[in-house]
Amino acid sequence: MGRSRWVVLGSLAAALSLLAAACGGGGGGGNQAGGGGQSCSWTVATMGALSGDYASIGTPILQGIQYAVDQVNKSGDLACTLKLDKEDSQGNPDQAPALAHKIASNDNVVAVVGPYFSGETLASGPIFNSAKLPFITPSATDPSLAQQGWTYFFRAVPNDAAQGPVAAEYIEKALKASSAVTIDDNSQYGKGLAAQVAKKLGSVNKGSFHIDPNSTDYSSTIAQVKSLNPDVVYYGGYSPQAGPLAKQLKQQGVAAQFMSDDGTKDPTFGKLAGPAATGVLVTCPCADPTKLPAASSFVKGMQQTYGQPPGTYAADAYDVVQMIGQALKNASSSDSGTDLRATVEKYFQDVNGYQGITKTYTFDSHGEVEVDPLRGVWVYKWSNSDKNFVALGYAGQLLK
Amino acid sequence: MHCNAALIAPTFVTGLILGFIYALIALGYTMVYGVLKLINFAHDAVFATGGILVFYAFGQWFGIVQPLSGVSLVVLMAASLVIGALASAGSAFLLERVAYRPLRRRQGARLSYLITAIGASFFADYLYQQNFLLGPGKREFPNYFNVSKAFTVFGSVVQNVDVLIVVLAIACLIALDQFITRTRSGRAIRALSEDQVAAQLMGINNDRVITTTFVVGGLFAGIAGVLYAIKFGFVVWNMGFVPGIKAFTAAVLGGIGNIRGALLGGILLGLIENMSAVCVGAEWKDTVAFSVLVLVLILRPTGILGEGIKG
Repeated sequence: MGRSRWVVLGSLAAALSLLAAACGGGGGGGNQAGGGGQSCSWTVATMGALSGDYASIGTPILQGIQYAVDQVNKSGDLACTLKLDKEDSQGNPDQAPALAHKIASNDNVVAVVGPYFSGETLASGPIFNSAKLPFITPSATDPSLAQQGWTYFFRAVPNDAAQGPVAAEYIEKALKASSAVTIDDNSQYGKGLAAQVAKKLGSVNKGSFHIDPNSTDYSSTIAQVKSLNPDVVYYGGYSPQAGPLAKQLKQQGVAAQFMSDDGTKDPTFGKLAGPAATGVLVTCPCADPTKLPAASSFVKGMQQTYGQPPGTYAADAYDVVQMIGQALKNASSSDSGTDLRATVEKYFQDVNGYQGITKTYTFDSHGEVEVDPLRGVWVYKWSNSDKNFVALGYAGQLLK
Repeated sequence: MHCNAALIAPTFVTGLILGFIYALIALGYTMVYGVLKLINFAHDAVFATGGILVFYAFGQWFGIVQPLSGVSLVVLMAASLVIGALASAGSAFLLERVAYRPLRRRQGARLSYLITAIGASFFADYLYQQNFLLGPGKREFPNYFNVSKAFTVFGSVVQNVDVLIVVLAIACLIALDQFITRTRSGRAIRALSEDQVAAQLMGINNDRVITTTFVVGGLFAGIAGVLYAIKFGFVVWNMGFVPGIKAFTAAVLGGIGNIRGALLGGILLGLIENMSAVCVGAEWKDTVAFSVLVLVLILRPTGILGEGIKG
């Protein structure tokens, strides 16, 4: 009896220490005074999938942000040091509101870069907006986000109302497909994007299907796709499901060209799809920084820092942080974080033609960046030798 | 919606295959319930352990990256099934010793068992999610078994791994049936499921029989875990969750505690799910499947074949 009680106590202690470790990892607040050359600090918060199923999508964005914060601090342009508060939502809309409250209630936070996904942005937007805290997403592309009446919302990339039609145009003109089906993962983002593609495809779209992102067997959907025998299968969703889906389609003998979106554009896709990844296309409202002359030092720096070229949306996230830096240029060290929220908001509202490394930034009254979709949306193809997606070019180039 | 004869046949085939996987996992739920009247919600972690350990053994430690063929493939497949089965059985053994036996000693309330089961399941899942183990994302399973087309039936491509799943599932069920009806241990399990006190008075060692039950259920779950990982080509820390819930449902549908019921329930659930995905839409399949479950339970509260380990 006595011995087993000790066992119970021991395992309780072990469980508690695990719990403590888990909580400690969650990135504490950023209220302490800065550790750099300046004695004061302002905090830039970021929120997205840093762990969980979608970590491979969130991590490159965070890397771009972290790199940009370091660059801004190195430049010495600001009166205070920028600190980064990382909040991990795992891309889950249910976890987002609590984290948003945590960020908004931190008086030192001047702006949020993110959230990364559309679902979590929809869930946390009202909180940021009522805290008068500017939140600039470098990656959430669902069009409805800009229609919520949020004054403090900005989006640094073209939305899916741009991406969807461009993808549809590519399917019809470049792939010369006469039939296609669209599948989505029933998420805010995937469903919206697939609907945009289907709408633009019109009668070319022979069917629209939804899969359950928590299931692993897509055979019933595939049977339906197979019976329609389409030239192209378009999937709106993220790589953890897109990989197995592409694989199972090929295994069931569906020969259609598989095409997906920015949520699929990460190396995880190829690992999960196996041989079925060959030739898969994705559209992405993200430029390939390695093909942009203005981004060459960024690409080099990221390569040095992280040992790999910048991933999807890293460059766009970098631009956002640099713009926040611009907004804070004239702020004095006595300004508090909450004072500066309005300054940042005004900067993004007024900025006219800021030259970022990926594009020129001007935001419309809804907070959308003004970009020609044919210039802003790029097409990428899976490369087995690179084990990643490689840019074919921007849509305008390819649809000429 | 898209329900037509041309679709029903291929959907039937894929649903059947899914059903056999459910049945293999359901055996563990049903046997433990039959003996202890305990719903072992941690059985999903037991299932995952088999696939995950084989992922480590052949993917990480031996680093097999090429599809194999011939004798080496047979040897490796046999090895992975054995390793997976033993790993899952081992984890089921551990679970029984660490989580349930102490409760039994203290005559814990039924609710404590249930909460302990859920706790153990979460413990294992989040342990696997730690970065020093699997980490958060899906991990590619070593592709030594080249999943490829075996044949086409009713317009549905059946993979070689699907054939293996069906054959092994049937073999396992027959083996279990024989074990329960023919062996001394099997008779002891049946005795315990009928009356624990009387069984003990007849000289049966309850603890030993309970351990056997867990281990046997674990063996089948491990085989299912390995086959599942091969079929879908990945392992992930929470890979047991959805199949676990489905297998549990299958066990209830067929009659929990009833081994043939597990097979029937698994196949029925696989078919209902896939049919409703085609006829109503994939986003509705769980709604339909669970509505069917509720209906069956209203009409037959003990499931289709009724409760109790009868073999």
